Amino acid sequence: MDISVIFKIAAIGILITVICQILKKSDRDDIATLVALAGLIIVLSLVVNMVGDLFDSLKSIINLYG
Amino acid sequence: MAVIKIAVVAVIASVVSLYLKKYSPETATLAAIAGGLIIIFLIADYAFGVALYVRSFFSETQIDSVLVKTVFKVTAVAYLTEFSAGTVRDLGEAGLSEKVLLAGKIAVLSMSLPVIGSLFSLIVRIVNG
Repeated sequence: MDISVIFKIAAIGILITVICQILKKSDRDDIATLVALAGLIIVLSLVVNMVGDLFDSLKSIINLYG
Repeated sequence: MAVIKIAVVAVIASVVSLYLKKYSPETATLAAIAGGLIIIFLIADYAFGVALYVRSFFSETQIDSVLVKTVFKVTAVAYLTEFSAGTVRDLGEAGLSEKVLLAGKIAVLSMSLPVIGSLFSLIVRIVNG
């Protein structure tokens, strides 16, 4: 669990923004919103996985030292 | 040593989230939350060490395990509530985070009732002599 996750999120954010700009310029706004949504879902799943790990470690604290 | 790494992670996460705020605000907040999670994981093994020491300390005394279990459970719930309230506040929902804090307090209170009960029974026993 090191800092690469943050850089991955930053890369996804920038990439999605670039793609959205390109799609907007070629006036395909509907696809642009879908791409933005997809990017957000990818980042959200990344963070949700980390929150799941946090819950597991908390649960292990409760069970192991109860 | 770990503190230096934590400082670096915190600064980088905030810079990244500031940078992303211009393009897509939601991703920026998610980056900040991810930075917080990384900091927690960096410090997790120290927390395990503290919990181990507290447990060994408690095991010497004859305090029954229910109290110790409650102590650790209350700590975990309190931290979880604090984490989610902070995250919700970051996302801009101040009212919602207050409700989460209230729910956490009530949960902790309900969990610590047996401990309070045993305290009262102890007091009654002492008073009756």
